[in-house]
Amino acid sequence: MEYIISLGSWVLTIGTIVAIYCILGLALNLHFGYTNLPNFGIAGFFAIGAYTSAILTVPHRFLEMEIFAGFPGGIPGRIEAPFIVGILAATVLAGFVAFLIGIPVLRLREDYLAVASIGIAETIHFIALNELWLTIGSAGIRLIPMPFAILWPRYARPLFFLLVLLVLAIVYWVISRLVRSPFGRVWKATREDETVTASLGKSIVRSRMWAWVIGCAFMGTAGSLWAHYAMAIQPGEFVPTTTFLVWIFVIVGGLRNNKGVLIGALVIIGLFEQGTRFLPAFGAPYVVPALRLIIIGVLLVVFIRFRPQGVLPEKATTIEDHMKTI
Amino acid sequence: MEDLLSYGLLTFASLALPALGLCLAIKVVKYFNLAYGDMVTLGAYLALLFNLTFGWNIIPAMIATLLLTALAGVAAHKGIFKPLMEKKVGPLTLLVVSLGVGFVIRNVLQIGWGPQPYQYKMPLARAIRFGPFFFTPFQVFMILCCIGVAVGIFLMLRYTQLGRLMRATADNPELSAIRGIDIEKVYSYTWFIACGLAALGGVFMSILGTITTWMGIHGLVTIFACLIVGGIENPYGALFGALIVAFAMEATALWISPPYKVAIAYVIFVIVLLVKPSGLLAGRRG
Repeated sequence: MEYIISLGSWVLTIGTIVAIYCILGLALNLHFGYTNLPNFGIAGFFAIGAYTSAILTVPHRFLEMEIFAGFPGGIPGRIEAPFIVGILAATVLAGFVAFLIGIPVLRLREDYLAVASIGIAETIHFIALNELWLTIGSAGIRLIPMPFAILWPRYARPLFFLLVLLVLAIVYWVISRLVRSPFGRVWKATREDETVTASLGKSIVRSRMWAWVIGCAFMGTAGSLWAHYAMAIQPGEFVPTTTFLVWIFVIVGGLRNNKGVLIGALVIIGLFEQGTRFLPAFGAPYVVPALRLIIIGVLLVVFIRFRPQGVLPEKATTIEDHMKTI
Repeated sequence: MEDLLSYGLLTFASLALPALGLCLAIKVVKYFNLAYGDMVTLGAYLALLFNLTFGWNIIPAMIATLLLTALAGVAAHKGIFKPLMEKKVGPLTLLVVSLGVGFVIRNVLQIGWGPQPYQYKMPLARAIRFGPFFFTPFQVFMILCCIGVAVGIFLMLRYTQLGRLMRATADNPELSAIRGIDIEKVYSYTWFIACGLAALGGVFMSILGTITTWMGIHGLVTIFACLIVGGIENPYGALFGALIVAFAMEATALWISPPYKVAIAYVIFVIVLLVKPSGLLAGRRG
């Protein structure tokens, strides 16, 4: 019985993490798969979401901890806002920051946009590390409340898992809907040929900006869920490795296919990143994680070499499908 | 003010060569290699191997590192990128592949050396006074080496056969291939030069700071900012950009806040994009 319970909590833990990564993957698919915006700044928007939600909802109890005795001013936002405010604010703020960043950066050619977005994510990481008044620096914010934990402490984790699944379902639905709508078809058209799309009177700049902002806002949502799930965040989590992992599972799973993204997240994050966590470790503590990342890197190269379309390739839209949607 | 000038010059010496290398690689081979940052890291760690483990002096260690990293760059190009380029995949796919390559390099180094930062073992040296500035002999060597190599690269581009081949391939690969240039060979030479420059930059950066597996990613970010400021695909612009970024970074470290050194490179980058997206030296022939 105990074995079953511990197995259950293991699946629950991995399931929640995978579901959060799925949201990041779907957002990246919207950026890179459908609109051809290589966003390498996922960790940055993830961090914006996580920190916004954490700062808004962190309880007074945390600020009264001894470590802050000599802290100038403490952190702002001692408002103990409820979770729902945190997640909405995280989404909106991540989208807004994306909009501001998008004004200069979306002018860049695709491969330069990739490097520029790494820089943006690193800048956000530096801000989280150094603006102590806002983020408490490398110590990170702790005691972030998990929703339901006060009402039903016993069922907090399963309920939170369901909540994450619900958000994932909403994100999945919104993205699939958008991509099929006339508004989203401009994205695919831009991806295939900018000149033709522009000549049909569609604004490339505006359509790219919308895709950029919507995707980044969803990354913020995922960040908020992460903060409330982990209940403690620190800047070291929002490094380029996080971004690269998302990229790799999206490519392996099947770029431009939302179901493929979910499979990729399950296989790479679920089985590989988290599932091997309890296998016996050997060597120094950093050897096994590094080995895992090496295998993931090799997997990426092999996949692009031999199966560039991923496990599930993009579904070609047929006339019949199209007629059904309208 | 003296501090700003001397630190700025040193930072410039560490940024200029990798910026020039990346610029050549983008100009000639026409895809963006994210693993370039990790080539910088690889250079730093290889020099660490020769310097700390084998006990060599830093200068022979640097030369050995330069050759090995350059060969590693060519090997990565021939083994991984060339087969993909033959399948006519887009530059963006190559970029994503380079992400995986960088992942592998970084984590192999992590297994070899662990997560802690390192420094080279160098003999203590008294700083020499140059007017109002103080430099150690090795720092003088760094600055001279940087200027010498950069001038050498420009002379090579301008007057040697290889330089002409590289410029021709950069201008029009199809036409060059039709005219009988073995462009695959030109690509290999370009990667050799670019990764050699990355290794030198890696060693110089590690002498100014510490060696970590992350230095390459941060390095790539700053190097890229140099390219944007000067105008991508313009080698003179790369050096000019490195000068501006280096001095801005050191000014930030002195007067604003040291942790934001790297972030300031990005502020400049965004300003340049808003004001003159093609770069400050765009349009001039390199």
